[in-house]
Amino acid sequence: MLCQNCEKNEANIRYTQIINGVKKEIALCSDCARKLGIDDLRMPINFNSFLGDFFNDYAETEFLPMLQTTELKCKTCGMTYNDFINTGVFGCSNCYDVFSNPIDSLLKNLHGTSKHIGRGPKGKAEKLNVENVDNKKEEKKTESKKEMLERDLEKAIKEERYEDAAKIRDELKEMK
Amino acid sequence: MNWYLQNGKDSDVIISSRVRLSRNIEGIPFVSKCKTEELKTVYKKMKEIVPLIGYGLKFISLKDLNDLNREALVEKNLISAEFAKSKNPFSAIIINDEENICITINEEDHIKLQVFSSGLELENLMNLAMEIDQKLEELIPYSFHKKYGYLTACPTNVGTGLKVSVFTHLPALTITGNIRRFLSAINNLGMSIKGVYGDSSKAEGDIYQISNNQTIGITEKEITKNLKLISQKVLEQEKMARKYLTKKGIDLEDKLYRDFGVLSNAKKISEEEARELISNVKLGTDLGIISELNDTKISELMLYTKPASLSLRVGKKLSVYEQEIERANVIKQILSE
Ligand SMILES: [Zn+2]
Ligand SMILES: [Zn+2]
Repeated sequence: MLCQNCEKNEANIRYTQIINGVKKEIALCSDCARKLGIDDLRMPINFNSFLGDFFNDYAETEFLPMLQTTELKCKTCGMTYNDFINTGVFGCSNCYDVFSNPIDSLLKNLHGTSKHIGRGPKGKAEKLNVENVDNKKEEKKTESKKEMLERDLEKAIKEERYEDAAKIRDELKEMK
Repeated sequence: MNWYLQNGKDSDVIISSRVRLSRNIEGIPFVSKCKTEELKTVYKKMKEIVPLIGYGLKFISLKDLNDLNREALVEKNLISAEFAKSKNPFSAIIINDEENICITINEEDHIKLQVFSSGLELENLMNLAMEIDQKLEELIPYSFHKKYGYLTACPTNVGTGLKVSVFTHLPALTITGNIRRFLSAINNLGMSIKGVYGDSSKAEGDIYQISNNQTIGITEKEITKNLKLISQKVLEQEKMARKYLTKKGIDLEDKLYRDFGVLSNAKKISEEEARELISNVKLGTDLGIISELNDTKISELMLYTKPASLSLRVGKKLSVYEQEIERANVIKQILSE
């Protein structure tokens, strides 16, 4: 059987998770398992019991983060999705928005869902100021403001809020 | 007395409990992408707010602790082995004298808030963690996402940021040959279970950590409730296996008392051997077979046979060979106290 993630290598790891009573199984090659950070759950495949449900659940492969998202890059911290696959950690909060598509799949795979339902912070603490602002940093700050606006613009267009988009576009023009 | 030397609820099987919340600060990249001044900002801010949190907490920079002191924190399960090796000059811990609260600063996430207790004590720990978290959120802006909840560097913690763990002693399930089956059953319930010491083939001392895998799409209450249910199942199964073992009568008594004999009479002893023997001596004590010991002595044996805690107790850094000799001495001291 081929790995259900890369569809290239022979699968030798079966990953099973039961969340809220729903059983999810996936066959992976050791490479992909390592990249997806689930290799420590390795157990040898029992093909007899596995092949049966595999064909029924073929659509389930959609929950796996696909590797074609490698071009995406977080502008705030410079991280690519490939970096994430190699390190297993994200670089900053903004990564969660930039990579939200593969993250949704990844979280569904890891946790069975991608929507937080627990508590949230009630406090209204002030933002921290990072010290040692030299000239270079100042440059960076305006740069990231621009990037922030560009991101908002993209989002506004995606969500069809064209009035907001026009406003952001004007603001961007003023900066140039 | 520190929590790890105390006797807790059901601590014959559930040695200790831990609740951990991972948090990051808004507007600052996660630690792996932080520049020096950003790490310093987190460090200084946390140092500044310590008196406002209360609980007798103190701020200790990791660079002010020597290797032995760092190692001892690892042995008490207060920080991870990786964090102990951190070269980052802005790594720190916030800790109280009882050591039941330990917040790590600039590990994988800016803040890891951990609270500990001996025995099975999940609701109380959860309440304490929430109470401290609510104080912190008044003082620092947390990185929180409408959809994904509390954002963490690693997606295995995102959402609630909550990992609840119990540390369990399962010698009878091991001796009766049920442990493998038991481990996979726990795994299939969506929990992770792993040996705390030794490699994957053998959990030294029969001590296993059980934690929740799911951190998002589930409430804090549910996570705690699930862990409690699992703990009660573990307790039940281990006790059943113990009951079965006691049917062996004199054979079991002979085995456990022999181990006690070696432990109390050895002139030098390695960490691994001590761990295995203490596991059986604890079982013997919990079953009422060995009467020479009590829970506090068992906890002391477990702690002071570990290399750094042993060296600190003796008062100097010891080579491995010296450790073996001093370990045997300290065991005798504890037994004769
Ligand atoms: Zn593959
Ligand atoms: Zn980022």
